[in-house]
Order: sequence, then structure tokens, then C-alpha cells
Amino acid sequence: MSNRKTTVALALFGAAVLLLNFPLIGLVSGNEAGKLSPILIYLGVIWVGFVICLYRIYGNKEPKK
Amino acid sequence: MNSTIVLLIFVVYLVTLFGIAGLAERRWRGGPNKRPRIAYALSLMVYCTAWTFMGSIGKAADDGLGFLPIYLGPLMLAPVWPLLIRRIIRVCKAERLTSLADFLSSRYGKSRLIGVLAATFLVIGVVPYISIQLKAIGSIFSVLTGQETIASLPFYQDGALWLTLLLAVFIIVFGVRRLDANHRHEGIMAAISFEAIFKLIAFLVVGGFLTFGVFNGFGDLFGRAAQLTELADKWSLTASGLTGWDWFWLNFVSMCAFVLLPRQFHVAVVENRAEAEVDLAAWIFPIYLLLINIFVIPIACGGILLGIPGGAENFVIAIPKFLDWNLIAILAALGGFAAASGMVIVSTIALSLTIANNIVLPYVLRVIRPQRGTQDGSQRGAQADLSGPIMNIRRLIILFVLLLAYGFYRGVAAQYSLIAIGLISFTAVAQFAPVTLAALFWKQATKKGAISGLLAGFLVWGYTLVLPTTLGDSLWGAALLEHGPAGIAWLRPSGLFGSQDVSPIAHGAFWSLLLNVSGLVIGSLNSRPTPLEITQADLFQHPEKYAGAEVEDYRLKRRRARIGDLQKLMARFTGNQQAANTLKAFARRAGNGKLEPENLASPALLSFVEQRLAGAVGSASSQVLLRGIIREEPVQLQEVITILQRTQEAERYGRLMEKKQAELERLTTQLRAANRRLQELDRMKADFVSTVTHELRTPITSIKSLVNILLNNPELPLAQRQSFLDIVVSESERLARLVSQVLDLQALEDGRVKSGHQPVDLNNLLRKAVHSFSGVSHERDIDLRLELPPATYEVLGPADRLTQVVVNLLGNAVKFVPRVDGRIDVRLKIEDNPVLPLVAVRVADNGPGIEPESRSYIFERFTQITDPELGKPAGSGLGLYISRKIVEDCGGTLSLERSSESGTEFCFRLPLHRVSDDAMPELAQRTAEQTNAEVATSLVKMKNQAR
Repeated sequence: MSNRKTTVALALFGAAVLLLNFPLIGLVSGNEAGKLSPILIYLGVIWVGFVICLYRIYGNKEPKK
Repeated sequence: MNSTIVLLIFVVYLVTLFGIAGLAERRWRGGPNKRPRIAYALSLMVYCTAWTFMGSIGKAADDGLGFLPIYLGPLMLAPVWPLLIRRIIRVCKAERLTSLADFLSSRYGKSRLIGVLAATFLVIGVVPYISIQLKAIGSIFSVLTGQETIASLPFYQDGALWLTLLLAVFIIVFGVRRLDANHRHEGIMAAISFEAIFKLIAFLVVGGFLTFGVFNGFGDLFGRAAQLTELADKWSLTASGLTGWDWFWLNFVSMCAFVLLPRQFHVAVVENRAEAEVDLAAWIFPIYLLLINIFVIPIACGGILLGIPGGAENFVIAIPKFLDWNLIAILAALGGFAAASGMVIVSTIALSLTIANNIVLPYVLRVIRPQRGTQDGSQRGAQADLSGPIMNIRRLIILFVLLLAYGFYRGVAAQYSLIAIGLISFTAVAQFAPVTLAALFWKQATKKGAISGLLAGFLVWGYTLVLPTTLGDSLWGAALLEHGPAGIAWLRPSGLFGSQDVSPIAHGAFWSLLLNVSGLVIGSLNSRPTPLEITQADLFQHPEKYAGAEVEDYRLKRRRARIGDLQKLMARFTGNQQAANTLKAFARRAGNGKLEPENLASPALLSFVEQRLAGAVGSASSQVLLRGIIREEPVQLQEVITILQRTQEAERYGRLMEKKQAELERLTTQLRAANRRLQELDRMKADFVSTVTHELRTPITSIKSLVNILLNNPELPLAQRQSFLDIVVSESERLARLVSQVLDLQALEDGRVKSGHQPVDLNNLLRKAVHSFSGVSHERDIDLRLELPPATYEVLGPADRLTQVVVNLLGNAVKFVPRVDGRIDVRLKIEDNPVLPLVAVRVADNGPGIEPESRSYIFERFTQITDPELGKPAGSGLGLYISRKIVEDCGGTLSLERSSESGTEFCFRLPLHRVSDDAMPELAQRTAEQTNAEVATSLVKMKNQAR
């Protein structure tokens, strides 16, 4: 794997650790009773975003014959 | 539902699983591309067990969002998971390792102790996890049939037991087919891929029917949940009892579990066929995790809103049963069974390999290992084929693991939730993270460090998590938890060193991993690695370097064994024919020809056999087996010197090759440039020939036709005849000039022109030259101006050649001035150069200028600038080249001073020989004192500066 893709993967990992810990903790900690939507929307956006980024990094590869 | 019918349904499902596995074994075997890549990605979803199917809902219903970190951990890891797992795969394939314990044992000097420790801790950590899957199967059974809980039933009436035994049969049939553990279990992979899809579909169906069938979508469901007090304040961390610190550690242990759980390691590493499978899995598994979590909260809320009785963990089955959706209830039950059984199958296979290769076989084989060169009957027992007994040992271990898990479930797990035991298992497995990462990335990690870290980590794990969970209800356990050992409060298992308000998992994970890492680092830094540890550390970091047998070169003891002994050893595990074929194939590949049994095995063959055996019985056992037939001799000094010399030579050769390559590249670049130049010269030559012949032909044609007219028309009027003869003369002169230029060029090139250095009055020369153009300038209405200084400047050089230069410059200017308002300025000035004074003659026109890209080669031979309006000018393209040559011969320079849309200015400079003006006495003095020698030196300097 090229150095550039490795760097991007590491950066995405760092972003994942940050985004799925601190803002989420903040959202959940300060949540009012019954309000799920901000948390779920945040989570959904991050999750789908990561999947797209992962596909860009690792997808579209045919197995070597 | 009748329990017999339910049992039958599960049996049918298992039979289906048998069928799928059998089909896959036939169709996917034989080639790397036979198994679809998606099967590998789906098999990773064995991560989602009954915990996901049932436990998450229970956790969500009780504690809100506390279930999420189990899935967020792998999601966070997803970007770097392929980088990590590829590295592990490469090492495991190179060394034929088949479990995490093998991996660690091999890295840390092929240590049997580490293998045993790792295997033991894995069993302690994972068997409870298997037991809660069996508990989940029991719960599914109970919910469907409405039967009593397991604890009250005798074991032979427990449906979970019979299903466990059926699972054992399945695992034994499809999980132990060949001795070589590196042989991929295509049937198992097909089964768990099928189960991954099945459980996802089951979960989505239940969630979908509940959300859109019973309620009117997510909005309606969440809206009603918000109105229920019980659910209203669930969705905060406070309700789940977690802090940010807890959340972080739950994510972390989940990340570790996704890689290091035996079942994950097995499917991701051992069952991998090609690295391309890893790339697909990298983005498939996050999608799967998202899909399987979409309906967790809706099902939890739905179950509470509908008032479903029983624990929330069973909602996924209890809800459809409550609503009389029997088919969906069965589908959900089978989905839960798929989730649980997938985990049980793969974990049991992985644990059986771990236990067999690291705990059982090393000791069994020590007793029955073959000896060197044995042929007689007394050693017949040592020669017996071991493949059958070893496979039976593995089968027994499978049964043992499952029965142990069942026993744990009956005795202990029934009292605890899926989540509680699951998280404790995750934390146990996380203890392997430091040693595993150190194995891959830290060369200084030693065996002693690894043992210290593992022991410290597991002790603290047991103290902080297992002890409070299992013994908290006993008298002395309660006292220990409250007051600490011997009343030392800061050593309380649930509050080490004064920790407070931290969840047990975060508390246990933090302290165990802290002491684990400390033990690893301090132990490694305070111990010296053995040579084998050093070799293995390098191999683990750079497996590609050790392709082949070079690792033997790095041993300090030379291993010797007869080929015959090695073949007999292999035959005990693979059969005689297979062993012979394998060695023949090796010999063919290595180009060794026939392997004679009496000969000593090469280092490459030794390593090959060791790796083959490691694949069958594990790294530690293969060491045990080989020790029986290998003789170790210390490496002689001469051998070491030879190795060093070989290495040195290889390095020297490598450096030489690099140098040669750089030189070759440089020469290639030069050759390419020379080739381009030659092509350019060829083109220029062709252009020149074309130009010259055209230039020659034009006047000749003109002369010929005029002479013909004169010959054929004697009656032409005298004036016309005179005019024609004038033209003939001028064309002849033009012809002569062209020929003369070409000859000049040749003479200059050959160095045959000897320019005599005579004093030349430059003022006078310029006057004459400008005067010769007065006719042309008048005819073409060109404003031709000459600016001369009062003083007369003399230079050294041939007057005719210098005149040729000025005429050439003026000729060019005349060609390119505009048709209207054309102007040419000729100026003579002195330039007080610090080296010696120079005279500068500038010829400037107001033509269109020369394009920047052409400026660098206007002084080349045969080059002419084509003006877009005026077209190709007349001439041979030699004028500037010859002019520059002449000026340089006289010690001067000729250059293009400026060129723009407003005109062009050429300037040639020559050393001033003499100036006649008394108004510049200093200058006159300087020039008079200059000798020829000084002039020559100054000329060289000036030429170099001009270049």
C-alpha cells in the first residue's frame, strides 16, 4: 500500500477516535430527556462518512490473478 | 411451542448448515479464487454474537446507549485494521502460525512458556464467553417453548446440551479434516458467512415489522417512547451509568477484541487466502455493524412500550411471539441461534488449535518424539504415524472445550448477563494487545518482558474483574470488596489506588493494561534478547527479508540432520507418500536435484520442514520434534567470517550496482540529449541544404533565364539589355556571396581563418558600412542613423571581417524593420569595463522582435527566424553564426541585447586598442599601456563571462 494511503488511513483513524469519543460523549452527556435524534443523526453521519472514506481508501481493488 | 418441534427446527437448521459446509468444501477447495471474497468479509461478522442479537437490546433497554461502544470500537479501528492485519497475515503465513498463542510464542524466541501462558489465559478469558452463547441458546429455547429456566432442569432435559453436542459434531466433522492447521476450513467459512447473512436478515425483519408494522415508523416509536417516563431519560450517559472515561475504555477493549479474540484472529488471519480479501472486508464490516444496530433501540423501546414480559435480552424473540407472529419468532430464534452458534464454532476451533499446539502436543510429543537415525524395531513406537492420534487429540479438545463451556454455563453463567461476562472476556483478550503490538513494532521487546506483562495484566484483570464478579456474594468476598485485602482500602478490587466512580470494566481495563505495559517495557529493557529472539523480532518486522531459509544463517548453532530422518519425521504426520512428494517438490523448487536420505539437510530444507510441522502441530511442538533428530553444533568462527564476508560482498556489490545504475541513468540521459541534438542537427542540415540549394537555384535560374532571353532576342533594346545584364551581374554577386559564406563557415569551423590583428578604425568602418546601405534604406524608406563619438576608436582585427559583421547585422535589421516607418540605429560607445575598456557597437531596429523561445538558438548555424508577417527571410541562416565567430576571434562578444515587440538590438563588443581623443587621457593611457599578453588574458576572461 502506498505511503500516501497509509497516511490517510492513519489520519482517518485519529479522526475516528476523536469524533466517536469526545463530541459523542458531550452530546450524550448533555442530552435532554427523550431527545435521541441529535445523537443518532450525528452518529449516522459519522458512520456513513467513515464507510465512504474507507471505500475510497480500500475499495475498487480487483484481486491479483 | 412444543419443545420437540423447536428442537427439530434447530436440528433442521444445523443439517442445512452441514449441507452448506459440505458443498463449500467441494466447490471452494483447490484454488485461491474459488471462494468469493465476500465470504471472508462476512465471516468477520462472527464478531456479532448472541450478545449483538440479544444482549445489546437488553443493554439498551436497561442502560440506554451503553451498548454502542462495542461497535464503535471496531468502527474506529476500521481505517488501520487492514494495515495491522496484513502485517500479521504475512508473518503467520511465513511462519505457518495458526493461533495468537503460536504468534506470540514464535515471536518471543519460540518460547513454549509464552505459548502455554497465552493459551491458558485465552481459555480462561474465552470459555465464559462461549458459555454465555450456550446460555443464549438456552434462553432462546425457553422463550420459544415457554419452558422453565435451565437452572431448574436436569442436564439431560436441557435442549441447549443436545444442541451443543450437535455443534460439537459439526465442528469435529468440518473443523478437523486435516492435520495441517493451515489448511483452510472452507466449509466452516461458508457456514459462518451464511450465518452472518441469516442473522442480519432475521434482525432486520423483526426490527422492520416492529417499527413499521406495529408502530408507524421511527418517529412514531420514538415519540411514544419519549412520553414514557421509564424511557424518557434513558438516552444520556448518566442513565447508562457511564462516564466519558468509561466510554473511552469500552471503545478501547472492543477495538482490541475485534483483532485479538481467538475467533476473530482465526477468521481474519488463519482463514485468509489473499490480501485482497482484507481490502474488501475493510469497508464491508462497518456497513454490517451499522445495519445490525439500526433496530437495537427501536426493539428495546418497542418491547418496553408493549410491556413484553421477561428480560429485555429476549425481546427480539419475545416480541414476535407476544404478537403471535410465529414464523417471525422462529426466524428470530434461528437468527439468535445463528449468532450464538457461529461464535461457538469458530471459537472452539481456534481454542482447540491453541490448546493442542501449545499445551497438549508439546508434552505428548516429548514423550514419543523420534530419535536420530532410528531404523530398528525397538523404536517402532516412535515411528508410528502420528497424524491420526493428533487429529483425535484435537477432536477431544473440541469436546472438552464445549463441555467446559456448558459446565460453566450451568454452574456460573446462568446468574450473569450476556453483557457482563462478555465485557470481562473482552478485557481479558485486551491483555494481549501490548505484547502483540510490541511483537510487530518494537524490536527490543523480549520474552521476559512479554511474560512479565502478560502475568501482571492477567493478575490485575482477575483481581479487579473476575474476583468481584464471582466471589462478591460470599462473606469474605464482600469484605474484600469493601475493605480491601487485610483492610488496605487502596487495594480494593473495585477501587485500586483510590479510584472512584468508575465502571468496573474501565477500572479493570485501565489498571490491568497499565501494569501490563509497565511489565512489558520494564521487563524488556532489563533483559537481553537471545539470538533467536533477535532473529524472530526482525522476521516479524520484515517477513519478506526472510523468504526462504536465510534465517538459518542467523543462528548461532548450526543445525544438522539427515534428510532421511526429516522425511521419516514428516511421514509421521503426513504419511510416507505425502512426505516424499513434499520433499521432492522442495528439491525441484530449490534446484537441488535428488535428495539422498544419507545426506545432511540444507538449512533451507531444515527451515522448510520446521515450518511444515509448525503448521500441523504448532511452532513449539515442531521445535520439540526436531530436537529429537537434530544435532546442534556451534557455528565456527570461520563460518561466521564467511557469512560476514558474504554480507560485506553483497553490500559492496549492492553499492556498486547502485553506482553503476546512477551512471547508466546519467549516460542514458546524455545519450538521449545527444540523440535529440543529432536529430536537431540533421533537421537543421536538411533545412540548410534546402535553403542553400534554393538560394543557389534562385539566382542561377534568374541568370539562366535572362541570358537565354539575351541570346534569343538580339533585337532587344539596349536599355533593356543593360538592365538584364545588371541583374545578371547582381545575381552572380549574390551567388558568389552565398558560396563565399558557406566557404567562410567551413573555414571558420576548420580553424583555417587566420585573422590578422591589425588596428582598425571602427568609426570609419561603421561609416562605410552604413553608407553602403544608404541606397537600400532610401529605397525602402528606412530611417538609418549612425551615432559616433567625437573620438576615434581603434580595435585589433581584420577590417574586412569586421565589416562583414556590421553588414550582416545591418542586413538582418533591414530584413525585419516594418515596411512603414522602419528605423535602424547604429551607435558606437565606449564601455569602461574594470578588466579593460571595451567598445560597443549597437545595431537596433524597430522590427517585431525575436520570440523568447527562439533567442537561445539564433546564433546557431542554419537557423533563421521566420516572421509571421514577412515569412521566411532570404539568406542561409549563417550570418549571425559567422559574425559571432569573427567577433570572438577578435577577442570580443556578440549578443542579443534586447528584443521586444518594439524592436531588437544586437551588440558586439571588442577590446579597445587605442583612442585618439585627448579628452579621455586616462583611457588613452590605459589602452596604451596594455600589452598584447594582457589583452589576451582579458579576452579569455571576457569570453568566459559572456558565456
